[in-house]
Amino acid sequence: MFSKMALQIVIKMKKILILIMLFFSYGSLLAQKSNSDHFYLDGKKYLKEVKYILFNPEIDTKKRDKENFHFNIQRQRFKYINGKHTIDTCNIKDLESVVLSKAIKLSEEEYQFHKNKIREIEDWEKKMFSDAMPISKTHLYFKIFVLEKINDTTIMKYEVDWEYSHSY
Amino acid sequence: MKRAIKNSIKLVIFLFGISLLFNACTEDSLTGIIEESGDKQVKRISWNKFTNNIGVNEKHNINTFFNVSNKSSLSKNDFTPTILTDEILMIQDENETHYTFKLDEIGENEEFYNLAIIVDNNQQITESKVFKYIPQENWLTDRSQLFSGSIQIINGVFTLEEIQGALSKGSSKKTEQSCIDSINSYWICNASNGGTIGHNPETGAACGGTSWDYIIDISYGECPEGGTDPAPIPQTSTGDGTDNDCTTCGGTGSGDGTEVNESIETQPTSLTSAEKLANYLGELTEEQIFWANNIENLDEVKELISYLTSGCFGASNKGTVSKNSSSTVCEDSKEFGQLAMEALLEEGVNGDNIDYVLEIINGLSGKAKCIYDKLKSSSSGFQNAIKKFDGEFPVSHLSFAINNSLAVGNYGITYPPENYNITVEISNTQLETISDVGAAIVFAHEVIHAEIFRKMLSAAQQGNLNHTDTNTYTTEDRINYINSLRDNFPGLYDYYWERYHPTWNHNLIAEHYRSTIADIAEEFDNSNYSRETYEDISWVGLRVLEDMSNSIAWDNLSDIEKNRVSNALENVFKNGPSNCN
Repeated sequence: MFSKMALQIVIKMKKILILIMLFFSYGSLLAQKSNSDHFYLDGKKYLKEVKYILFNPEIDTKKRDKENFHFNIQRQRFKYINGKHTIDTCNIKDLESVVLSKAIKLSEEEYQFHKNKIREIEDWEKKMFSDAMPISKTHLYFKIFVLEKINDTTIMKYEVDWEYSHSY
Repeated sequence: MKRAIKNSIKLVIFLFGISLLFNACTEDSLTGIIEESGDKQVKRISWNKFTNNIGVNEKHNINTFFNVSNKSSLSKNDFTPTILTDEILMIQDENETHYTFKLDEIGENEEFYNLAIIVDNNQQITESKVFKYIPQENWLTDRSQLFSGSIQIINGVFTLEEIQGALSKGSSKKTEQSCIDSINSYWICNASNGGTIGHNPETGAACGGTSWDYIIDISYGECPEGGTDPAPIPQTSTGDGTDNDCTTCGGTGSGDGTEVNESIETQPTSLTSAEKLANYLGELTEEQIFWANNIENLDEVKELISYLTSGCFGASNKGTVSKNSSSTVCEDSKEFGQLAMEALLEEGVNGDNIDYVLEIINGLSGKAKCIYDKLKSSSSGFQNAIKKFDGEFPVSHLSFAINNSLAVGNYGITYPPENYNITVEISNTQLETISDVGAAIVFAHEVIHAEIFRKMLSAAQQGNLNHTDTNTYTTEDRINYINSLRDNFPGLYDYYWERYHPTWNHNLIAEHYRSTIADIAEEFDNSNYSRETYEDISWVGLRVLEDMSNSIAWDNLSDIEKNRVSNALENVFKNGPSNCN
């Protein structure tokens, strides 16, 4: 009788342990997600604007470097990093409502976004914010997905970093 | 029901087994080993364990040690070691315990130093000596073998009074100058952790612990006139570790005439390469530890350590006790040292790729390396440009790397600074499609980008230029950054801050840096073409910008000038001579 009770307790504890583990792994996933979905300005947290870029294999390039992919689209560079980013296989119908951006226009769109955002900061001029964009290795304000058409029904959706492009 | 009972029995047995495993790790298991070792045990212990053993407060000790180390008497011989406390060798018998600490000093010929102290059963420190070990070549090439070399006492470093005072164990005993009289050696069964030998290599006896340790018992006394030479350490056992072993065994220097009155038991305890690097760079990853301790990388490790121990390695920072010390190297050297180590771990990168003088990581290969080397030797303009990244201007470091993933027509890229480092990536795939002088233009163009970032970093006094990142920039930092930019680099301030546009960087280069690019190319090419041609090909990348708009400077050219530039780009930049492969 006693051993049966002990066994039941152990089984219950096992279940609780599994639930705790699931809870923590989900929590850490959420934490990861939130880092790439937000940016900070003057100590405040903002949601990144999502942009979709279509990869055209006829004029753009995609190169594989180990488990990562480099997309060169209209002089902009996007990098999928395995382990950091996600890849989804989507039905083309699911993306019908998606608004595509032109890679060539992204910088200008980002600049406008920045100008609008800093004007939301109280005393932004006194705090020495200006239209000058902050300089960082990856662009800060947009969450970018590169879409690659595989066939008539399937599209691959790559979450990517948009890399800084002062190059020649 | 039966199954449930069976399962619960299994579970109980399992838990009982686990509890046995845990119990097996407690100190009770040492009892047998001590008996097997003649009531003597060897262990490697932590600083906490040490301070518990001698019964003093840890925090107080470390602070006091710092005070001890900063005494001027300790640096009078230019010998100001740090006492490392991560792992302490403990040799314990019935009456006293001998502790050995590693010191961070390493000589030109890999000489290393240990501090050995004796603590009696009343927790009083009765002896303290600093030993210098001078290794022989055969041990240096294979440090897993028994230490071979000689030993010497170094007087006047950490004296007994200072050690006693540091640990609040004051004593009136006066430290005298000591010299080694004789050395006795023997194998002892190691109680736990460490050691590499599973049985006594001389007698073949089994060990109840985890391994055997080679212990040396150093007898010393008053120095004879003229001192003594280093004494060789015997390579074979000369006793069994009992108190009455110490005779005249073991070679000594000119020990004749010394009055033997004390002895310390210890073991040559040198830093591993990884420990040496961690001492300067902070904690290493497992991969870095493996690399640093790999004998094949010894020359590169030595070069890195040599760099880290030079430069702004100020005496005022040294002579300290350290737990996981990384304070003994200046921040600038530490940052570049970390970058160098990261680079050295990459495939195809070796010591030749690290320029410790200019503090540049050169991960280039193929045509890019050929052009870079030629630029460095031929162009004073290029030399001056990259010299601004060296130790005299410790604003940022420069790294060159190969990236063959760049798009067609994209020869190089300069990344914005991160943690005071600016990386330039060059595509060999793309360089192979242009002339040598064209490739020199690419390098000059990218180094100008790096130079602009370097100037901005110097104004910002931060490791990155993301001035909206509140983790690194407070409002005050940002105000200071922009004011400094305006005061020191008004042209840059004008383009970046006053008249900002996403293409500001290339517009600035097109307007103000083309002649600098042309100078570098002309020097590189030994003026094979007219000055006008070098100025024309310096337009590469500066006509149509990243948003496909024309640069302001390009739009200001006449059609005739534009045609001439386009021809030069086609004939010289792309199709000129290419001998560098």
